Amino acid sequence: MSGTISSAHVSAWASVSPASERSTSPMSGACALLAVLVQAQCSSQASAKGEIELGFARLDELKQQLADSIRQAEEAADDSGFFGFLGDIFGSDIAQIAGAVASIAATIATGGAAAPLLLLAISEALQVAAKVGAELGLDPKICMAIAVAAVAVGFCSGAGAGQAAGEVADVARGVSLGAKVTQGAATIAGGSLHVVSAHYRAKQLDHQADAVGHRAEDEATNLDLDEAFSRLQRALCAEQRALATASEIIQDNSKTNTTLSNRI
Amino acid sequence: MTQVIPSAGSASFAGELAVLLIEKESTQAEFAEQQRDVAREAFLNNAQHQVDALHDAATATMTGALVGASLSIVGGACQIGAAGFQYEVDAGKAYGGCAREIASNQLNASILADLGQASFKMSEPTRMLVGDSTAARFQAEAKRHETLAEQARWQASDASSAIDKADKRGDKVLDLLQSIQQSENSSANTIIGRI
Repeated sequence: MSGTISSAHVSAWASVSPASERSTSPMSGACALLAVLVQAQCSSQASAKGEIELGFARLDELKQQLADSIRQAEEAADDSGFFGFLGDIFGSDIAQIAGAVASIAATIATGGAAAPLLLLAISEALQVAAKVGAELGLDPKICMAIAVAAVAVGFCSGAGAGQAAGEVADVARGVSLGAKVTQGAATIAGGSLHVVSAHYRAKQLDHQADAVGHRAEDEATNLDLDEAFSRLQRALCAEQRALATASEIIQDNSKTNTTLSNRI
Repeated sequence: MTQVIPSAGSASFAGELAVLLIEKESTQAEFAEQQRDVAREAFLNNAQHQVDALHDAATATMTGALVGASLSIVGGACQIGAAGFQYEVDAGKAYGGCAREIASNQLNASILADLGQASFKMSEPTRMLVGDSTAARFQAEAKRHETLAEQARWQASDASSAIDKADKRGDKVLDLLQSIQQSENSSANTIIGRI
């Protein structure tokens, strides 16, 4: 292969080599060019290896960041769930129970005139019972029956009217007021806890978004690593090819010299 | 196939052809490299847009929850206020209080109770309208960017494959060129031997 490649490389070599070296034979010029090529491939290999090492370090770093993001998202999800649960208890269950107590107290305060309110309270209580029963694993059919009963009782209820006087009625009115205030406070507490829950939910989503970003960077780093590996592979192949070519040039030339010597 | 071999004056026709083929493969490889770089940039851009959209969705969720919870809190406060006025009304009725005052308290209690109920009942739809629907829109946008990023990633992969293929084709041409040169050298040596 001392023909095209070697002569081509010689001309390229001659253009960059000092004037004193231009007088060297094509064989030595070609070999020198190939040596330069090998050196270039060596530096290319070193660069690719450096990039691969950096890539692996970056991958480790990204893995750590990804793990952190996932862990923080899980913690935020736990917090969000906890505060959401508390918010549901305050905003829904406690408020409903307080509402039911207020209705019963109002019935007592009105001396029975507010019986419809009592029905309303029973309706509320049945609703709560149906919900809690379902959560506690009660038979769904029973829960459904309770819920239907709650609706039926609710239909029978209406607004109460007159007020009774006396100590019991006063206490009942106080209890009713306290229950209603408790209901309102529970609603406020439920709302506030839902805000806290939403804050953690937003944090969870933010961490999940960060995790997506880290994954994307991980993919990009993998692409870069693949490219660096390809370059390293190409550099190794080119180096091998250059060495093989140099060896063939030397063999060819020595064979030619031997043939010429024999002829002389 | 790592470098373009310049055409040499002494090269045979086969050698010239091989050099041209290698140049072509080299150009194709460079083009594929450019495509891969562009695809990589597109992948990173779309991934960044996806992350931004997910952050926006999180913000929208928070905003919706804040608005919904604010309405709940207002509703609870109104309930407390209504309970206070209602207590005054009940006590006034029981002990024969001023009818005008009772009527005024009754009006306030009714207004606050209705306001509280309305505020409380509006909290959930408002939360869904302000938070969930906006968040869902951002999630959809994030999904779109995710798809585009995936597409860009595949393009980058395809470009890498194209580079490898071009390299292999170039190597084959170089092997062919090498064998041609070997044959020529062998012939030359034989001729020299016979002179």
